[in-house]
Amino acid sequence: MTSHPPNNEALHASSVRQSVGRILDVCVIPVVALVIMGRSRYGAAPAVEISFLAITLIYAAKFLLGSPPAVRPNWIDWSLLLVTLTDAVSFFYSTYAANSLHGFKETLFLFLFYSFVRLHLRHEYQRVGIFLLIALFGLLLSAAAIFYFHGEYKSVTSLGFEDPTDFKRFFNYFRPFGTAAGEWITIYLILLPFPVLLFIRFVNKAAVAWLFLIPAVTILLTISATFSRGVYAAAAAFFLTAGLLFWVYGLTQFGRLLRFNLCALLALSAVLCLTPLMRPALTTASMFKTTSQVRSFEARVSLSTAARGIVKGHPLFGVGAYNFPMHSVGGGGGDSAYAGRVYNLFLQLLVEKGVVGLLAYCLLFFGFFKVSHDKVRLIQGDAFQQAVVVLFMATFVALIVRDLSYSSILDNEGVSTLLFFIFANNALAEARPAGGASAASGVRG
Amino acid sequence: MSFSKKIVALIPTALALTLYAYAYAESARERQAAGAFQQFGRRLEQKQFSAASRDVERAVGLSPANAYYLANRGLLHARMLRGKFDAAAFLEDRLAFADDDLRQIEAAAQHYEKALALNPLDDSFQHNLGWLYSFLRKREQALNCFQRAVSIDGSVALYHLSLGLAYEQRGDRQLADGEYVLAVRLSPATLDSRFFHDLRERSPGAAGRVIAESISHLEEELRRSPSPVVKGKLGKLYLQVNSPGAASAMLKQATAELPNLSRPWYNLGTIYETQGDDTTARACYEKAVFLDGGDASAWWRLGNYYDRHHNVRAAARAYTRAVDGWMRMRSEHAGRVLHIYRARSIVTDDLAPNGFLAYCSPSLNIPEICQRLAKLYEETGDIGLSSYYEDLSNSLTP
Repeated sequence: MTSHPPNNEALHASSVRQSVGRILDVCVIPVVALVIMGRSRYGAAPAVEISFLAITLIYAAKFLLGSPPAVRPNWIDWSLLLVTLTDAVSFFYSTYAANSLHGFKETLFLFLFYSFVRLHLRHEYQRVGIFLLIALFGLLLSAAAIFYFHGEYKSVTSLGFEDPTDFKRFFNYFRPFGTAAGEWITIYLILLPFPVLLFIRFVNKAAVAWLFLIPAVTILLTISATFSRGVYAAAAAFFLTAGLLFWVYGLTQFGRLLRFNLCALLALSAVLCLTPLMRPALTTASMFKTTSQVRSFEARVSLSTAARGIVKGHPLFGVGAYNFPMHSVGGGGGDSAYAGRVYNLFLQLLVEKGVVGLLAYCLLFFGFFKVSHDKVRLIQGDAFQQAVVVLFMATFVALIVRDLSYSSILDNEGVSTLLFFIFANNALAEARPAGGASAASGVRG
Repeated sequence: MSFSKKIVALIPTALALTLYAYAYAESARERQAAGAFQQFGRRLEQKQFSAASRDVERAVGLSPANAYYLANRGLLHARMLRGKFDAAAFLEDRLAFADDDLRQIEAAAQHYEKALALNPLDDSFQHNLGWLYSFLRKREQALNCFQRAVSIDGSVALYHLSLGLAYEQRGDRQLADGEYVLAVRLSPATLDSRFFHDLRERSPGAAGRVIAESISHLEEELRRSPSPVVKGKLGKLYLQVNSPGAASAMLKQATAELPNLSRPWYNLGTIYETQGDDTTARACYEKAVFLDGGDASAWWRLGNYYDRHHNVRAAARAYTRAVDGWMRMRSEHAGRVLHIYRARSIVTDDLAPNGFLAYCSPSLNIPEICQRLAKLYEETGDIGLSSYYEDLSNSLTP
């Protein structure tokens, strides 16, 4: 029987611990990407949730046993904690707890997911890996959406219907079963920054970088085929805000972003011109041209009035998550169809979570912009990270624009998971560990 | 970072995990309840009442605060009543129930009362409870329930019909007619229903007044706001009073302005069919069934077209869809349940009394369609389906 000197054993154990730590660091990439993809396709599926919770426990043990960098709570962390607490209170005050249970569970899951990303996304390769998988996911989703759209468009026009914008509900966009199209199409909006970021990351490898134009164009094409004014306005807000923020912060990749956006928009215009999509896309962009568009707007106004009436009855903590449809029966008014949603994120928060909940969420949104703004200044010299923070700010602006006319952030698990990933990413304001910025140096200048 | 700081950093995660474990356990029970309820829905459709009872009891046991499950426990008792809704017997106060049936009605009413305690804003529960009270001869309570259903959601034509019938039973002709007018204005398809057929038989004057007043209201509404929906409704009403020219003009305008409405296409199709323009009529019916795949009347008309043109397979397919659409007739409330209760499955006809939804919907001679289907499938050599529809026809023949 041989015996090793104690220092060798300690060295061996330390090296094993380091190897396990490195493996677990790499595993963060598939874990985060799979949670995002799983929840996008299958919603709050028990398999995804339970697996993620088990993984959370493993990583909590790693956090305790390893030597992680210090965590300094910031505005996003505190306000998210506040949101979770107010959601818990709102759940206990819910007018119909059976519905609100799902909302409460969602908030807790998103908080856990945020904490996971916040504590374990520490290396740039992890971030790039996740972005790559999400961009690929975006490419697959949008390609499938376009494929199905082609067939559905043909069946609409073959019946003699000329304007497809009147038949949006017959287009599937590769949405999961049981998900409303209006809610689902927001996912394409939130997937948009990932190929753009990868282009910026790999711009020095031109051949690779321009490959990311493909997912960007397919996603934009899907967005065009949604014929949704809200999504069009949000996509425009994304590009405008991104350009503006890059310019305001004086980011060196402003020119690159402009070049990429221009190429993507040119490619999109070419595809639209070559297909019969240009006319309906222009009809959608005209905002109030068709009877359907006018009726849709009127129904939204009517629903807002109904929502304000509900708020008066439950001002402080609201009626509870997912209880708007119960309180709004017959609230659509006129001859409009039953909607079952309030069509405005802020009004939905006010109705379902009350003034307290709305303030907590507004604080979270403010905290996100404040921390992101501080971070852009803090990480001077790391051009890629700055681009990530700024593009995520633009994405969030786009989502808010989208959710002014359709509430999808709180309703779609895929969108909310991606949004909380964005929150966690921008909350990571701590100094990067050595080597974290090395890859980014390649894109500087 | 020291160990204590790490522990502090993990406290929110640990708290969230603990709360999540509680929420997950609760939602797992909800999922089990939803599974049991789905079974219940299937068994209720197949009239397997004792198995359905076990399923709904299990769903309620797992999720006792779910108003929808509780209400469906009540619906099950209502479905177990013998016989279908008989408007004449109700209006003439001839409805009589055996002791067994009365016990079922009382049990159903109790379950609906409990469901309404959990969600007093459910229009359908109020409506169904109204009918149960009617059967128990608690007429004032019944009337209150119908009025509450209408005040919660005045856009459902069927609630106005129930309220109108309750008024008519009391002898309040004017109030009853007022409700019938509202129902027809909301859904002119009511004119094609058994309900309206009966109204015309028992009171032709009232039926005529209902149509005339509905037309005058809608014309006034159209003057105030030129809505294509109103045009579509007016088109149907003009068709009813034998003004095909005016009807056609209105329906063409409605379909041009808002081409995604199913009923105007259907009504336009019937005009073309009457005029002998079969091809255009078919195109209209095809649009109608594309827009509303559950529209039994439009499928039936399309089936007739193919049958006339000896396209056996297409006719069989269209008639099959007509029968399916009829069998799976869905109340407006059932369409909303997915939103209101976040339900995973629904009971498509969740209205009491038995057969009331069909009574108030456009009528079709389903046994006759099934007979025709049996013959068509026989021609295509599908003996299994042929005998299925033969049996179905026999079981549906009164």
